[in-house]
Amino acid sequence: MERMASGWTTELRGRVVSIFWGLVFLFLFLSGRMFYLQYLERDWYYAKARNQQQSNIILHALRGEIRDRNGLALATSVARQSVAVDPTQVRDIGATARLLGRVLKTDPAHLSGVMRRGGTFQWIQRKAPEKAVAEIDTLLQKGRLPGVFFLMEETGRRFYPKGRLAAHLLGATGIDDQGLDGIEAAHEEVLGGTPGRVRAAVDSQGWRIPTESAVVQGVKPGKHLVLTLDETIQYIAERELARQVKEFKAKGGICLVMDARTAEVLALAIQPDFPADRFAEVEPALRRNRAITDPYEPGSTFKVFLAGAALQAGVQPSSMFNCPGNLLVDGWTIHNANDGLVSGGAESLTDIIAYSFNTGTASVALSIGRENLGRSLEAFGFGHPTGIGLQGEEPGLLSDYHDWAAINTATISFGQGVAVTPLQLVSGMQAVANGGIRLRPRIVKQIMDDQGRVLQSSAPEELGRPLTPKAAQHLRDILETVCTRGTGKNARVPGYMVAGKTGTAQVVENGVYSSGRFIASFLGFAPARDPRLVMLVKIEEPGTVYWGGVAAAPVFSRVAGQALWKMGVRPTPGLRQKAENE
Amino acid sequence: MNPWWRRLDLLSISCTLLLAMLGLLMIFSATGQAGPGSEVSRQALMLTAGAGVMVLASMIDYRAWWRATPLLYAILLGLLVAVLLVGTAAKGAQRWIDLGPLGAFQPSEPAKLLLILVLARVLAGEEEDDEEPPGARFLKGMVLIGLPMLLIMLQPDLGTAIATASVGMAMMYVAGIPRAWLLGVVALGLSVFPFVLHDYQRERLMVFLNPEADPTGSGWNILQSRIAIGSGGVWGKGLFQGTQNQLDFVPEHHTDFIFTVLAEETGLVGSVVLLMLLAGLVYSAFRTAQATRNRYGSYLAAGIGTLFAVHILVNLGMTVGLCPVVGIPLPFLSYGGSAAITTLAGLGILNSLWLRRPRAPD
Repeated sequence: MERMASGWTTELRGRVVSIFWGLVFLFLFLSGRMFYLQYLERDWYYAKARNQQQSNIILHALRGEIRDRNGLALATSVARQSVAVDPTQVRDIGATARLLGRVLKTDPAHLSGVMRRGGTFQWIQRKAPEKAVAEIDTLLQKGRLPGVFFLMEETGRRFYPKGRLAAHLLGATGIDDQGLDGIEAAHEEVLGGTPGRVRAAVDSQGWRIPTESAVVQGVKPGKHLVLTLDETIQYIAERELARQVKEFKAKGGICLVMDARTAEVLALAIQPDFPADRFAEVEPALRRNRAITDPYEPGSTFKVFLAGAALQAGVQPSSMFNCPGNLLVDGWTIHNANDGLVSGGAESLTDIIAYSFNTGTASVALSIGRENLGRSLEAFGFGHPTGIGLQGEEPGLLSDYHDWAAINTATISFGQGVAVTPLQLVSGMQAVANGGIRLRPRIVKQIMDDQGRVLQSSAPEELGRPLTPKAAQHLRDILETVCTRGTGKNARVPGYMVAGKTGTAQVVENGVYSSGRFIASFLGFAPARDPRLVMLVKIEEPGTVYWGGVAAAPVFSRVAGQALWKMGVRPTPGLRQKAENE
Repeated sequence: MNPWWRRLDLLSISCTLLLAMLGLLMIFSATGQAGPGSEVSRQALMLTAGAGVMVLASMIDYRAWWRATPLLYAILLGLLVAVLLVGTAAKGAQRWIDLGPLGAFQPSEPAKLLLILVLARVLAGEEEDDEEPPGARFLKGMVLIGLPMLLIMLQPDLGTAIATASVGMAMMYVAGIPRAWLLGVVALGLSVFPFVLHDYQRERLMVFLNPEADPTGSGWNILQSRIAIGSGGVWGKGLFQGTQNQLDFVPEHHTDFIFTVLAEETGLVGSVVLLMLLAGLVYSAFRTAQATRNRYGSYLAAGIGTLFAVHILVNLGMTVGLCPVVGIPLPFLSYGGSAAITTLAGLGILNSLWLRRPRAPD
């Protein structure tokens, strides 16, 4: 013990003191840093802490229904149950995982992994199938799944209860139930509703802490969209169109039915069709709503509007026009269709339309002049979208009449060198059927809230008067004649008088007429004297007979007969639209 | 004659008691459990055991350590070798020896204290008046520090290595080794430093310089602990109300990052109180170093004081973002038995020195 050195010196004392003061300096430095963090920068860090401890959880609103005019659901969303778990409440992770795995047909190893992630909240399966939900519910009531619970999720799955019905028109929704196409997209604002927001406290793993949740903004479910569509007429149109397309080995077809007095679209059938819930899997060319997106050369159906222009310009139905077999215009030869009808050299306006003489039509057009024809066609709505309120509506192609040479005036009069959508044709015809008053085509009838209260109703909107009432009356008579003794005889409906115009157009491909590929169509209305419905039947590229009067007119006949019955227009017993030569 | 208790180092003892209670409170806040087997109860057990060790160390005449120096050094090396041979690896380092029901034992902690005891004697020399020349003591000291340092770096345990090196340098300085030599050693150490680092250690240094580069990955700890401390503000969010802490945003918040819990829940006020209690301990150690009036005791006290100070500075420095993250616990507050017992043993030795200081005649 006594060997231990004491050796205390003032030098040593000084060194101990300097080490001590060195440490004091470092302690003060540390205090400075704390002052900086906890006093000077406290607000910044406080905000940062609060931000990361709160998460905004979006509660999706239940999407509104799409209904037909009678309230029948065409598209609907059902709220689904989601299965979640509080892992801290689970007694036996392995057994719980096995049980849930069996019910949900999921790998139990995956589920036990999820439960081992910890926290107080984990999704097991979102939007679980109803059958599984029922089974889990039973197990829960038996107390066999402690920690497992249900959460109602408002983003349901979209259902189209009518299957293929109006699939092209309805469109599709995406994974979060947002509208992607068709009506679903065009009226997203109505259908989508307002999502709610929950601000919840979260821990570092993002787990929600349910007790501290507070709804900041409530969920507002989407509104229901009532269409002008009539499910029955739509069904009839689809069935008859499909039958005809199949029978004539056609590539496809369109049947568009409109209320003549209100311009409400009653049916919009497109072939080939597909189940509405498979929309995303169908190639774009087939799922497009071609009635508004695909303009085509209308051919002879367009003569309706030439006749309208002529009558409006003062021409009488009985006025005679040059109607040779061939007509030379600007060095181009215009032929009549090779359909066996022979003109008598000069024909009345009525007969030119009834027998669909191209040369006669051209004579009429040249006689009234390009300005009368061009202005009239614009008044019928060609060259502009109708504004029906659907996405992707095309304006078609109608060049400025100031630029027309005589040959343009001539060909446009019988539907060549002009492109129109099916909807534009029907809309123009609606003006004819409605005494010359053209209304905006409509697809939406009403907007309803989830309590069934009508929030908004669409009303007829006049777009113009392409025809005087008298001209409209004359045109209706001419078009009735078409079906009485002209090319449209197959469109006749027992018990009703019908009016309309056939058309047989060649498919234009890359600017040239493609031989052997035709579009057969019939544009008409019924009853002829008191029109209630307007309809276009378009059979695309029939493989057998391609004349509009043969391929398309019978569909008009069948659909119009059933639709008029549905609309409450009773047939006159024994009334037959007799052909004069029958 | 003063009563016996008046002779104790009351400053050190009161700081110790307050810090121990504060530590238990914070561990409870961080873990949220108090039942048997919980961290709080285990820590309380360790502190009780440590208190026994402290009393024992206070009663033992510190000169006994002087005599036992070779044995202490053998124990030191034995522990460090043992951890490499039978230790359990966790998070990429082999630092613990599993003692079964007693839990995991971390030899690095007592190793630091043992090295101080050994170094104090070697630096003090044998003869009272005839201190060995500084050169010889410097070389001996370097060798004695070097061997355990090597073993520590093999675990690897960067935090303990830094603490050991700092304490060694401070003790040599106090022992009169020329400043230039020590600065040379520090310079040499810093120059080889980058080459002996493991990749993860290098990454930690880079993250320290720029934590925002990877805020959700390697920079997470640094940023989250800074947010916890800063968001506590002046008065704190209230005991058990620290959202960063209660929602587990700060990892390791009951061990190395325990300060974030205190700072968040008790604010700047709590931080300053804690810093004052810790500073009180360091101050009492240096007061003892001055009071012993013999080289060995003085070096011993200065070494222990520096050890506490380095732990405090590095631990708090890393939580407030002043130095990179290395595994160094905060004395009394961090959960961990080895550290708690070692700290209390060190305080016992300090008390033993204080009790046996030469006093002015009454």
